[in-house]
Amino acid sequence: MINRKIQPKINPINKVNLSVPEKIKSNNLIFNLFDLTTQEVVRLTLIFPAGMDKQLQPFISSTTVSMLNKGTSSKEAFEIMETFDFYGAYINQTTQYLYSKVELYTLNKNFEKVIDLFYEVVTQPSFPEKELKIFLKNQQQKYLIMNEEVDFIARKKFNELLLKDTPFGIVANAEDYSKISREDIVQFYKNNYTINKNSFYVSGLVDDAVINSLKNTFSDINSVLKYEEQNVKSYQPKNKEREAIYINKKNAIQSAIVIGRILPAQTHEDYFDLLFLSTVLGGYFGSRLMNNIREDKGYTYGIYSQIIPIQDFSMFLIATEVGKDVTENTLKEIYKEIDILKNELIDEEELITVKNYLTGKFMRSCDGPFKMADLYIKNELADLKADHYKKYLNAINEITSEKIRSLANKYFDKNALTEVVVGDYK
Amino acid sequence: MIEFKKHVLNNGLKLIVHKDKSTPVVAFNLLYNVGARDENPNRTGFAHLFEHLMFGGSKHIPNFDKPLQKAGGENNAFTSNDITNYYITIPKNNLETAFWLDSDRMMELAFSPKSLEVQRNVVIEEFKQRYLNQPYGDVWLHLRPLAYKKHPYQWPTIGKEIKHIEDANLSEVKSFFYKFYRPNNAVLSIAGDVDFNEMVALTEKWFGDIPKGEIPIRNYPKEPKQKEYRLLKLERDVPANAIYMAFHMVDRLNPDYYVFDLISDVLSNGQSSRLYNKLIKEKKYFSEIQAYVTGSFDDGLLVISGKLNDNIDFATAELAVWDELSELEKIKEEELQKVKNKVESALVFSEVNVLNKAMTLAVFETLGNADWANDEPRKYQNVSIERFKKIAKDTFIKDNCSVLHYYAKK
Repeated sequence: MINRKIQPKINPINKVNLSVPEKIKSNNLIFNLFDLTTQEVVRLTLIFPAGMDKQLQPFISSTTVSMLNKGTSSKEAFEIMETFDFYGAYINQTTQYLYSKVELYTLNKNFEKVIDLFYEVVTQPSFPEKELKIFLKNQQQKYLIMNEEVDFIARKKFNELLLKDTPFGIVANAEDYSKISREDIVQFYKNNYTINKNSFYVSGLVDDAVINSLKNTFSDINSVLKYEEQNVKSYQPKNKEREAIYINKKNAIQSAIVIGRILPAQTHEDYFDLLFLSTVLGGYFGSRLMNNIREDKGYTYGIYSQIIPIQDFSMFLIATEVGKDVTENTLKEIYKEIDILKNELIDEEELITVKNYLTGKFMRSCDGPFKMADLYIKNELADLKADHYKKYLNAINEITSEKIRSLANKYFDKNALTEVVVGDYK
Repeated sequence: MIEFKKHVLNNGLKLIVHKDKSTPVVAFNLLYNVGARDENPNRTGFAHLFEHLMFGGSKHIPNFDKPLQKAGGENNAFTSNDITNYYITIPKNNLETAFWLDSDRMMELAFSPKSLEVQRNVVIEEFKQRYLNQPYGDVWLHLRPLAYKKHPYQWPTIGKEIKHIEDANLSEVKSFFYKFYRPNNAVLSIAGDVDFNEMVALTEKWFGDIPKGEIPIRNYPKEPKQKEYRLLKLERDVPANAIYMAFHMVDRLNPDYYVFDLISDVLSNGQSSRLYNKLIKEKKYFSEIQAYVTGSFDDGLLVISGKLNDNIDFATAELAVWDELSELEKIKEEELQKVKNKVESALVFSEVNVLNKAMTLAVFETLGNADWANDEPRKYQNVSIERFKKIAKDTFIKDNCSVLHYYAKK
């Protein structure tokens, strides 16, 4: 006879073995290989030190990486994409705070057929004026649409306020797309698309054929892209005094709220514990904020908090969209939940729940060849030690309620929190 | 290729198990064959509201999420016009918690008034956040009833209007539960490093004593063939004009489904696609444009939607789309093979993820046979150029088109 009232035994979650890549040297290039064979797929990830940190005006970094496949010295955009498409290959171009990433996804059997073209796209982009103009105009249109959304407006303002002493906080507007010239892109590419020891990562079914292909194709990349060890400039936004901004968005039936502050870097002794604290507050479905503002009051479809590591500092924020009539109440409740964490100890049950939740979450975050590689890449690019994740899992295991409360007091003083509200409730 | 084994309980619950040794995570996916199409037209949004209520506590377990989090698991759910799907990902050695949780709420929900009260509000906020407070958010609230006059696909999953959600009451909730949330209306699909016999034993242990239900025989009103061009004009506070064109197509199991899907790929999948190159880059009529199929169980829609550039009027933009649709008849083998190759690649990549596999198996089992998931690559590959041309010719006619002209308020 089963007893439905009692949960089946919970076992400790098994330690995850983090994959370490095989590093293959070819001239002075280092290829990091994650041969994690599940399906017959391959992903080649190229990292360039061409992030938002390097741009002097908005959208340069993202435009440059997006324009790579829009023409090379010998091929036009259509021909390039038709070839990738014909072989079922996908390329992914993104930009981050500190780097740009270009990825090739392909079936293992087609790797040889597309790798030369991928190499050409990355090393010989021609940035055709015609393509650039179309791209910028369409991005501008998309931006105008995003700029109508309350959460987008709120996040933008929040970033501006907190990061204004850094290149990550440059104020951006749709019109900034029209200020970009081809020369800006060409220069940005020339100056920042360089190779270093953290440039190449390959994951999936990485067999000898793939390795040989890579070596052959990339063997003289140094003749086109400079090899340059990284000397990344460090930015340290100053901690601000509290600022509370309201932006009116006519006819908005929901208000967007963003509250947060700058926190120390992920190498700081408090960082892992702060991640835990943020999880308790708003980092999962059973968090204090979700339980109060969604599940108890029904004010919102979702509220969450997170910590974003950005180089030598990180950014903490709470974000939500709520019915406009309950905006004031929501703000009250958010600060109330923070106060509770400053005054009361969380009980053993909640502590264990969050510990186990985070351990399970970590397991999911490195499940599969691509996620496993991503974890490693993130670690390496942030120059973190090899035992960083081990330390993280230990910290989760060892944290105490007293520590959580003391951290809440140390970092969540209301006077240190910046608040942005966008809506039509006042 | 997703290998699996199947077992059916006496109460009708179907169990599908796929072994994947490469991952420590198990995907536990429970799919109920009920969606927005099963709703009363005067009480729409119900299936989705109900999805929320499934998390409000069950007979023996007051809180669904907390015990799962304690076991290191994560969960979510979604509702469509056809199905409601609940999924859990959990470390392998705590899998039994998933059985305990999902079997208890299949047995009997707690039906708490407070839960209904709160989730009503949450869903109303979701309605606002995703459909009303977003530019272009309300498109499907208008496009669906334009294309479907009889079939229940005429309303979206969120519901026709907020009032329907506001009026939902507890007795309706109970009756909905016992009508649809029964083991013989569900598929449990498990993917991970698991043993089939152990899964059978656990399923029998936890789900075996749940009584089967009397599931209503579905008889959805058939949508009569559309015989006229339909146009609706809306004016909203958005930055750009937008156009939405919906064409009727076949159901998910129809052999021609794959033809329609490939047509949508030829039109707009990737940067070598036709609409992208002709209408965005060459003519510059659109800043963005997509073509896609709804993929619904019953007769679906192939939709083309795009944002017009400032200087272009609706007539010009729409005419350009019609021109491209008639150009489809000129397709050559190589272009057709290109999109087939893209699909093949996408299918392989989708099998990297264990949750994806569990869901795919559950959906196809609900459609009739989980093994049809493994026929997909072949069915796409078999699309002939003659069939492609014929479907394009027969589908893209004015009489089969419902159009929304979405005007930006000046």
